[in-house]
Amino acid sequence: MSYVALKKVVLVSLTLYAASAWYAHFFAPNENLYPLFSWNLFSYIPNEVQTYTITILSYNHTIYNPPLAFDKKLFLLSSVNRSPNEFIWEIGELGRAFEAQDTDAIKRGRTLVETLFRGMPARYEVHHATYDPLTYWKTDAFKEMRMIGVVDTSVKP
Amino acid sequence: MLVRVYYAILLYSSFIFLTEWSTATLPPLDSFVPLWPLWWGHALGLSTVAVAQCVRIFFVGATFVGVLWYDRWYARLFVFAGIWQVHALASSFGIVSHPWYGWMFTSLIFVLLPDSIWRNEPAHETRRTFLLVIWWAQAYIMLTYTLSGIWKLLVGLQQTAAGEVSGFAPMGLAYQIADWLPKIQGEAIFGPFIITHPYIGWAMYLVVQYMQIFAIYTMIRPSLQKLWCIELVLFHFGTFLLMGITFSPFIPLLLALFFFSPFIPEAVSWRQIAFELPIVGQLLQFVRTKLLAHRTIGR
Repeated sequence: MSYVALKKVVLVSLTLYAASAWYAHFFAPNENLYPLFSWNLFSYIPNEVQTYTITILSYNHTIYNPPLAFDKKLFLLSSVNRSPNEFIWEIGELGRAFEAQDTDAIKRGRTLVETLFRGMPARYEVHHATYDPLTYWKTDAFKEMRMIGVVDTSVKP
Repeated sequence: MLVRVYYAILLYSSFIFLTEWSTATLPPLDSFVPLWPLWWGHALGLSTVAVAQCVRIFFVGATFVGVLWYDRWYARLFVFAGIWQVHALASSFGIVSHPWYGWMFTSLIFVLLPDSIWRNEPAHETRRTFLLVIWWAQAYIMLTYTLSGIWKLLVGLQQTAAGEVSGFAPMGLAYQIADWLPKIQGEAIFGPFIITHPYIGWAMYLVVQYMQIFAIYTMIRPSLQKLWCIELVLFHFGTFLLMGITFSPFIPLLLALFFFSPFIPEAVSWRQIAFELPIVGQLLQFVRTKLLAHRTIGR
């Protein structure tokens, strides 16, 4: 390839890549058009967060009162080789499944979330929570927390 | 030099990957949904563990080939194939792995390096082509940062217009960190400090956004490349220290491509850098022009 032709290839490829990033943002927000990626990382500042979370009522026959919050240095996370961030995505899927009363999705969600318990018996609640990140960091206070499901792992999905 | 360093770092990276993706440390197998580059695993009826083992070994082999025969396009293509499989594997457990994108696309670009640059006395055309391919790889990396910066700019404007705390606001970074830290529950040494001293974070975040938006500008102002390289490396250190996020593959990639960049002038003064900074440089130039005009009139 000649130098002049290669220059055109370079400029076209960079332009196409930038265009693909825009395309990926609007048409593949869940990154399901691999290897397209928008590079839109941490652009949005969360002012009020609406999310799903779990609180653990009991684990391996130990009852927790108050229940253990998932996002408060949960000791269970050190035993499983996964980042909390991956569980958050799965807890979100489980929460949406409960809201939609989709039994298949609940089953799938439970299978992934309950890897946290490594086969030990546990009871946990699924919540929809609304909070201001800064206020929650400083005071542990939610704006709103609504329970949407209770799960006993001994009851198979 | 740049090319040799690049493939040498990849060899080291393959060892790190080998150790970090052992059978015992694989993500939960239930979450494995293989992306399309791993089609061969299903075709051969391999288990998830077997696929991971194959990718690890293939990557190690590919990087050895790359470091020994970097001057042959098919060896460089082999390396690209190895990185691509690594990236696909790392991205097949629910979340796409972003850090490996840089190595993946630059290794593909490097396949087009002219092999004849390493043979005898290369022709002028060969040298120009070689430098153009290096420039291309650098431009790709800087483009990714610019894209990230532009999104921050656009979303920041959108949130500001909506009356929300945005990336331009004094509390912006503090909000971001406060939201993120509970999600990782790992080490973020200075995260709590920034939350309680948000104005320090504000200044840092504005600088980061400026450097990201104008990263691609360094491709036409090579005197800025080293400064941008250091800042972007610091940015990645910062994301770990403030938010516990590791984007480690980008650090050696930045150092390989920009510390050994053939485009950086031999001698670069701080004055030259200042006058070539985007926006800042133009402002300085404007002020200097006005001062000179004022002095001329004064005479």
